[in-house]
Amino acid sequence: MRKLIAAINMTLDGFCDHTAIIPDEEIHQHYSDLLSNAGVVLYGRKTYQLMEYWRTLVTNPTGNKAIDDFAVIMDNTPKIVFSHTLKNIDWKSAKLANQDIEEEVLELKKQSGKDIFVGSPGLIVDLTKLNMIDEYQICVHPVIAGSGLPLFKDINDKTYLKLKKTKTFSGGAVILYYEPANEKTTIR
Amino acid sequence: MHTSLDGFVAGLNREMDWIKVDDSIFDFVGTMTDQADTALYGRVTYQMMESYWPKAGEKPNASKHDKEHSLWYNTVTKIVLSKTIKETGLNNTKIISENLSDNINKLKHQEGKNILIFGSPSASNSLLNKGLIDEFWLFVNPVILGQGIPLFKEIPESIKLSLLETKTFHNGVIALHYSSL
Repeated sequence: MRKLIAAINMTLDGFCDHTAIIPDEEIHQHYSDLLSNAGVVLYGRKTYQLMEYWRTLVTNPTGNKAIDDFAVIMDNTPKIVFSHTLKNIDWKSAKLANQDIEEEVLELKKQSGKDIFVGSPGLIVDLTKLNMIDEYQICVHPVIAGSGLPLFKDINDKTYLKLKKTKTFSGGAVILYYEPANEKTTIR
Repeated sequence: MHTSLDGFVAGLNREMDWIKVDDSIFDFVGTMTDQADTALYGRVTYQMMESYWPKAGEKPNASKHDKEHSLWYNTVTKIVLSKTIKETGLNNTKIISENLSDNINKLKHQEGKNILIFGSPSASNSLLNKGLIDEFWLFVNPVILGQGIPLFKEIPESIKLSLLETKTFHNGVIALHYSSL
């Protein structure tokens, strides 16, 4: 069965605002490769609307290859958006979820295909509480932001993980790859 | 400094039972203490240390780490940031209650080995905000606590660091070594 993977950037003090982190070319390349291998990416409304920025770069490339490549890949990656307020969306690769996150993910996991990624902090928290995440890929950037949007908020229970591997970038970011410590507790 | 993946140094009730330490981590920290002749603590951490380490090496069941770290603790100069503790009667311990930058800079300019801060989130944040910390070693534990005592707080503006190296331990702890820019 395919995996549900939480992949997100985070500051050293645990914040995930997109303004707290400036990804360099190497990071863009990493996420381009990641999205190319994604079956589908799950977003909440806010992150989805942030990602819509990349659509503008498909028609108006920046000239920076890593960024422009990322924009094209993002444009083509299938997306499912969870929102109570959006009634319709017009990005051809995106669709609105028509059931709640738990049902949607259970259904997606049953389908064949490449891995499912989740890149919104709110969804990552919801799915962590539901014990549905099979792998975390937390990219820790070398910055202490001081304030912002905490990635893991409103989590009341300790979640033990198992470190699988790490990947270090020349700019000082480190991706920490974790699985839940007790795989049997993951709902599949 | 031990921290959870989400940046807490202790749980809401100060619990630290989630912190994974083993001989390889103790030995690794031993290489750091070998290069340091001064320990710096906030009041809370100092009082925790003081209640254990002075005699930890003499316990009947003392481990290798107990003996080594107890010896180190009793040998090094201890600096405590506190407005309430009095210096009189303490063994090899200095209290800094004011003029933090001046006093720490004076210490740093003295000949000698490194100054190590253990735990002490409040003291670390004061020092960090004044630009007095040269390097960090964060031992990131494989756990999301969700809530607790944050490692970094009251940081008024973002601080960029440079990653020097990482070290992964078998128990899933990864040590991240940063320097100030």
